[in-house]
Amino acid sequence: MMAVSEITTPKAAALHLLCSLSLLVVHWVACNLYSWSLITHTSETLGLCLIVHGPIVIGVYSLVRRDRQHCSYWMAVARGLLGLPVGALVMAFGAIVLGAPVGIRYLKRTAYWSLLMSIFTFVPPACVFGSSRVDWHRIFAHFKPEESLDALVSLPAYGSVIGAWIGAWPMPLDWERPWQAEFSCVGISCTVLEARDHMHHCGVAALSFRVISIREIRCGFYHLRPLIFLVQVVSCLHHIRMPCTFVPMKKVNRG
Amino acid sequence: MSGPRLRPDHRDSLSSFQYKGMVASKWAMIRPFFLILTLHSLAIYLFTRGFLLTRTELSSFSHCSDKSQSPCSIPSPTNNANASFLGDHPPKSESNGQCWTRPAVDRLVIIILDALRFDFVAPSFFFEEKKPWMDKLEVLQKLASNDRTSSRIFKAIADPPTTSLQRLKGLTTGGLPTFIDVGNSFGAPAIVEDNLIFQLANNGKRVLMMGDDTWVKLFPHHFNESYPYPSFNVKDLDTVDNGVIEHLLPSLLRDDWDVLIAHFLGVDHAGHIYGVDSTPMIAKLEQYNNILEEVVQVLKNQSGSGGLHENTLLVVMGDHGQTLNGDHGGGTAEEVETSLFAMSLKNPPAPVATVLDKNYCHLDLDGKKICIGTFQQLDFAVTMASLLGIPFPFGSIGRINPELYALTGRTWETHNQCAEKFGSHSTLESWMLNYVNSLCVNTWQVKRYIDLYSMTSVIGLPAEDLRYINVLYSQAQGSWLDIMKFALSSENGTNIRITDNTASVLQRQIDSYSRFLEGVAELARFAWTEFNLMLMGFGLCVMLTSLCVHLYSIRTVHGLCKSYYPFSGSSASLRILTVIFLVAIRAVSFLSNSYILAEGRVASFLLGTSGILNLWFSSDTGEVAVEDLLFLVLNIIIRFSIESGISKETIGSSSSIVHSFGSTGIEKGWSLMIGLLELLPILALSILVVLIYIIISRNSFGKRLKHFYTMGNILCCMLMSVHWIVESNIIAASEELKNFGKTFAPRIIYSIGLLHFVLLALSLTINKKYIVPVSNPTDALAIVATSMLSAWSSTILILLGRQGPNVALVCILGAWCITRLKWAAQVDAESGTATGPIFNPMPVLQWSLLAVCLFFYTGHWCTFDGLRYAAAFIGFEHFNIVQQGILLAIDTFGVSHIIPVLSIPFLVISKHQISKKKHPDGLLFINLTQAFLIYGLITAFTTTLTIICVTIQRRHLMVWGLFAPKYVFDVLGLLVTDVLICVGSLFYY
Repeated sequence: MMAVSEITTPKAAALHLLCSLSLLVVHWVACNLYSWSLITHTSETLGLCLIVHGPIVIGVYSLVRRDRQHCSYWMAVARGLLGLPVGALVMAFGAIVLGAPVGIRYLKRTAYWSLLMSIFTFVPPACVFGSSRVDWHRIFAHFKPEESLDALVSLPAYGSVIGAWIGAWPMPLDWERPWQAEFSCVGISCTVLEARDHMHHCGVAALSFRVISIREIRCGFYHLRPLIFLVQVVSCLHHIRMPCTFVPMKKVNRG
Repeated sequence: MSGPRLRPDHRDSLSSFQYKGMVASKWAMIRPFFLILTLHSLAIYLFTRGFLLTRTELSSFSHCSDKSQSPCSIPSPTNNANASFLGDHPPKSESNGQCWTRPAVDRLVIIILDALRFDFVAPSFFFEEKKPWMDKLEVLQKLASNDRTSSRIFKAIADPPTTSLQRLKGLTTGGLPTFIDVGNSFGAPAIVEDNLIFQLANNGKRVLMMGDDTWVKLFPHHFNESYPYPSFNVKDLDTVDNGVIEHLLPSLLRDDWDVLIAHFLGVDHAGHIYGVDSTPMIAKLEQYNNILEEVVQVLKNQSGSGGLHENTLLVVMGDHGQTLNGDHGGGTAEEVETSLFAMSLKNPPAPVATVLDKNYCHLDLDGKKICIGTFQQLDFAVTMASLLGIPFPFGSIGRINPELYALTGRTWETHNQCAEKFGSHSTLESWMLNYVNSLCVNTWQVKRYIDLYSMTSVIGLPAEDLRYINVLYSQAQGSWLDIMKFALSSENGTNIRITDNTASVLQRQIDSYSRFLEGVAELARFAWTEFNLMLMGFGLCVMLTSLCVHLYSIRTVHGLCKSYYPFSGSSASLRILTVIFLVAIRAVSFLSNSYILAEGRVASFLLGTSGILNLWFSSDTGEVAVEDLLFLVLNIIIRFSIESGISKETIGSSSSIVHSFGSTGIEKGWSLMIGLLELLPILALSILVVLIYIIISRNSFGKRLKHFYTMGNILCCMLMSVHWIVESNIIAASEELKNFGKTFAPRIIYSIGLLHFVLLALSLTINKKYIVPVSNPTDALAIVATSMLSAWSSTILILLGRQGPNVALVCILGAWCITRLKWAAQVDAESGTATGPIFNPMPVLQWSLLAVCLFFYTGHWCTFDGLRYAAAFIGFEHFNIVQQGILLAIDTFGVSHIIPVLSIPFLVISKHQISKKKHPDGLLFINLTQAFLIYGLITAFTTTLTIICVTIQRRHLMVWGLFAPKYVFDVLGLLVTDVLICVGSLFYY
């Protein structure tokens, strides 16, 4: 059974390339065609990301489904579609535990974000493994991918979850003192996308990105994609929460 | 299977041996706690002495009649023959209504421009480069160069902290307000010390105030008339200013006030929002220029003989400066340098130039000359008081500023009889005599304050410096007495000159007074505004040492633990790393001021993270416990309460509160909801009672005591509900019942709690069997811990108010989840490898994070207005510093320190109850020690980081607003934790 599910390296590389490319396209479209950014048009950008990236992920991962004899392509797609809302619920719950705002105003953003996170995390294993309990357990509990297909599924998922966590962490950070900004940037492979907005952080952010990515490339191509996800998702969660949780410092200044 | 590896014979022999060792080494276990407590106390004492400057507010006031006690009262010509003039005279009431000094101005107009930088006022050629915001207040510069004898620009030096409230306090009291002014103003910002405004009101001067409403908060009852405008909305540049403008010019034409205070805020707000180099700032300055021009015009028009402003002094001043970003609060030159412009409408005679231009003229303008004086804001109160002729504020340590004193015309008039004795002729000499007289009173008043302060204050002044000050004082007053004596003894003859030059004698006298006053100011600045870096460094070192001691003792105990079981600590290492990571991330976050503001949310974020990690760890074994999910849900509840608490804290976010109410739809069934809300706590309370009953009855208490504790708790809960019902006024109760519910019910609850505690302590020392009939140490520990908690809980509950039962339920649920979680991990570890008894720090971390969350959950936050003062008055009507202090402390630290620390044993008990058979008895206490040590270490580590952050950020803008309160709360929390751990260890072992 395992032998069946092994996939070749070029195939995996093509898969990652396609997925990453779709994200880049979304970013390019959002930036240049609509001139949206995650800060100004959070839900629109997330929605666009969802529409473009979602079908590609489901389609591509359904191609590499494990039990090809018993499961048709469309069956795998259906599994993926079924996994999407379930995963979104889990992600939304996690986000609320970690402090995502709740309310009518934020409903759309939270929904889009959790659907996107579900695509990053839940949908690939749903497409590939279906509801096989053993496989899910092996992937998500042990953190030790045993075969290439496992890595293909689990590393992006871990990358995006960790990225989202890190993205949620520096929420209340004030950029008042330069070293505080640098501290967070170096410590938290900062948001490359955002660095375009903060030009003076650019150097630091790009540097940390480079350092990590060189190491990741050495480890293998599989690891590169989680990083891109990480960067993407950091900025996603960062901006979802930004408008509502940022405490206006100025108000407190008057003694 | 791990069982076989631990051979029974080995374990038995070990356990019996260790059990004996255990009894003997009870003190060996407890000793580290006391050592750590001592180290922490020492570290905190040293650091606090260096960092938190304290000053005691004295409640004495100056009075007109006090002057007779001073050596400066000049004997009247009728009885000067042989009398000593040292103060045994009865107070003389001067015919001209003179109080301490002779009034030199009749009316005073003070215009305060908040955050007025020095370079806003001073001409640009005083600086290297002309910046866009300079030379905007041209009217002041023109006046200063054209009417050099009657108007003048000063560079005013403020003392940090340069926040408006502290500065206004400093300006009016003439002292140096510190971060902690120990006084009895418990919460309200109103100034209780003697101050300029009080003296004005007390001596019949009518004060008219307009502008910043901080003044009204500081002086609620002192103004004849006031037009306050809200100051907290920084984005609003104009409301306050327009309000002031509306009232200022009409008021200038009225004669029903003596002192007018107008406080503009626009520049401060423009700085905060846009920075100094911005168009709104320049627009504001230009607007002020126009207003000031009009004001000067009106004053000059009325300054003729018999006019309204014949003898008026106009003062335009800033309360502090600001940086280019518009920040202020710290002690940098930009922030402390502000300016003061003074213009007297009664011109002094020509010789004024000799006083004014003596040392302070800085630069020559091409053509005209502008001189800039220096002025300490410390001197403001006393200078104004002496010019107005009112008693100087009691706590003022300033010196009458000679230049400002010289600006007013009347200080040049010869007016007292004594002057004739000196045979002074020139106006300069008579001015000097006047000034010396005022300085004499000033010196005496400052000395009186310093004497009283060093006698009564909590932390006095250094003795050596006091001695030096005393020497200076006796020199100054002694020489003055000699001069006076000589002048009087030679009175029979014609006006002889004392020496060949009166002026030089007087000048020497002025110098010796100034030396004393400068010495006092220097001492006061040293004691009240400067950090002692050496002490801070020592404190920090001791703190770091204590961390090492902590780690060492954890290692020791760990080694002891290892002697029970040979095991490998492999699977726990990931958890330990996680714990270290989470603690470190929380501790490092204190470097940033917004993390301190959002501390509650950060803590709940980390708690949530730890919950999710736990879920992940337990999913490793394939079994997801219900407790994991329950814990996450609980975390959501905590989080929302913390956030609503934060929105209450930031003023002006009422919209979000309205929003949240709107979303829950409370408007519809308002009255019904209110009624339900009133009943809700009582409902929660009854659930709590049932829970407590179950917990207590499950334990095998001593029979009588069990009844006592159960009955006591139930009685407490009933009393609590009576109290709340009476408070909420749902039922029309009779007066007696009301009185009982409001006053006696809480007091009975306090006394029951105390009784429980004392009883527990007594029975443990006298006869342990009486309370603990079982021999099993695990059960015994459970009983002691339960009774300990029940002794504290009811007091803490009633102090928390209506939220109490909810908080308690959340607390119990959270604790239950944490203990269960740990159990799950335990089983997994035992079924896997032989890592059973190694202590898992994860639950302890969650415990401590939960405690932090509960602190914010109960509506506290780390500032002094975050203290719940209302809690201190539950059951008491009147203020008593000890009583109310204790209640406030219990309320503040109750749910976040007392309960969590005292209930740490449950962490260990739950583990031992589940796998009782496998563990030798001594291990229980070793594990308990580990838990206490790890809990203490987590608290100590965060506090150490807070201390380091405070040291780094000691010149930060928010140091007094955020970092210092955080430091105080953390440090007190650490001490409370340490003490509780010591107490707990005494009780439990």
